[in-house]
Amino acid sequence: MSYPPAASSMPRTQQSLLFPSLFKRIDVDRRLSVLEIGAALPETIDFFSQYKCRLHFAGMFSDPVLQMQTGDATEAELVDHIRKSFDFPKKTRFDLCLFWDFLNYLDDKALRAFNKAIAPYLHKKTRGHAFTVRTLDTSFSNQQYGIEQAHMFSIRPRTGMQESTFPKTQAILVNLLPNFDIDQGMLLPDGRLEVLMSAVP
Amino acid sequence: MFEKRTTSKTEPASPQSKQDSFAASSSTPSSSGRAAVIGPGIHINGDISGDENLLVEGKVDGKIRLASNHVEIGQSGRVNADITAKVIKIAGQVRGDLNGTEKVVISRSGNVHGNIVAPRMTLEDGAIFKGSIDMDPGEPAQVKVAKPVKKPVEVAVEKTAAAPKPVATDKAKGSSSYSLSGG
Repeated sequence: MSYPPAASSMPRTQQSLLFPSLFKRIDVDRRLSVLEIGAALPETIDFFSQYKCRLHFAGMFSDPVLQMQTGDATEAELVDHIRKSFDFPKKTRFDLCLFWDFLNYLDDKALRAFNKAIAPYLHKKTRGHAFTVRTLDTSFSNQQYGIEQAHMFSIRPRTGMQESTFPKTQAILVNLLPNFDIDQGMLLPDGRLEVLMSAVP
Repeated sequence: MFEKRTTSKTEPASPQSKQDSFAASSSTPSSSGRAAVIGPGIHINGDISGDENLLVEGKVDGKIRLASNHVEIGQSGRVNADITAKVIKIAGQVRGDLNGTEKVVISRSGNVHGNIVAPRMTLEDGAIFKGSIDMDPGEPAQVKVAKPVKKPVEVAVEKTAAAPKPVATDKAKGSSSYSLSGG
């Protein structure tokens, strides 16, 4: 079996002024439960190794839901599929959800399904982080994110072809993802909006 | 043991190298003794336990429990099993939970789907992992939030001159109003 080539060993970095504040709001004295919606990257694991935590890597960027959403699948079928993909223990309640730009890879139907699928795993103090856009003509690069430091993300090119994107403005996002409210946003130079969110389960 | 094996990971396994790995099964030294080898042509259906290091280049369906030893799943190894060992190194494919009492390492060719419990965990560039990792640094967690450096290190998104701008976002749901500070 052949393996995909390793991602660049020298990831680029992106500064974040918002991300550190997530950790000021979270009770880090108890075991953190963290959802990383994407792939496991070494730097993310290294970063969280300083915390007593359980890290869940959902690997959703390579999940079939990204192809299913463009087919005939109903919202209920997508909910069912996403829940099976998650495969989280029933008692899991995330303190922190790292969505990165994943929500922009879901069309409206799939995002509503995602909202329902993730609902059982949220609690009143769940916080989230994501990228949205200010205007719908903003594009997303085929890249994956990791955490070098609280204020510094790593960016690596994603292997494989980029899936279709459905950029979401803040207004669209909160309508389709009502389990989260947006607390704070930071406009980035390329038109993306970095947002911190609170769950409203 | 593991250090010696890593040299072969970059090369495709040839029949000769497979023979070598078999030959090594009775003589390979390791940190705590010899290592048993399950060769690429072997398929085990059942549980494995004992007191010896183990290298799996074949296929295992069951459980592997070698709590005081090292277990390595080689690049050609295909394992459907929960693994408990002192040190676990994965270069092949594993579907199952890993409990490493000392350390778990997923090499760049490794592909793991399962949950990991270990005090130390290393994921090499290119490794594929889906599941959860329980981490405990061994002392009460402390917030280590570094202050953003004033000088942007390397804004990778796009090399535009503009710095990130704070956006006052309304807490009210559905609000799309932004208050952009400056150009």
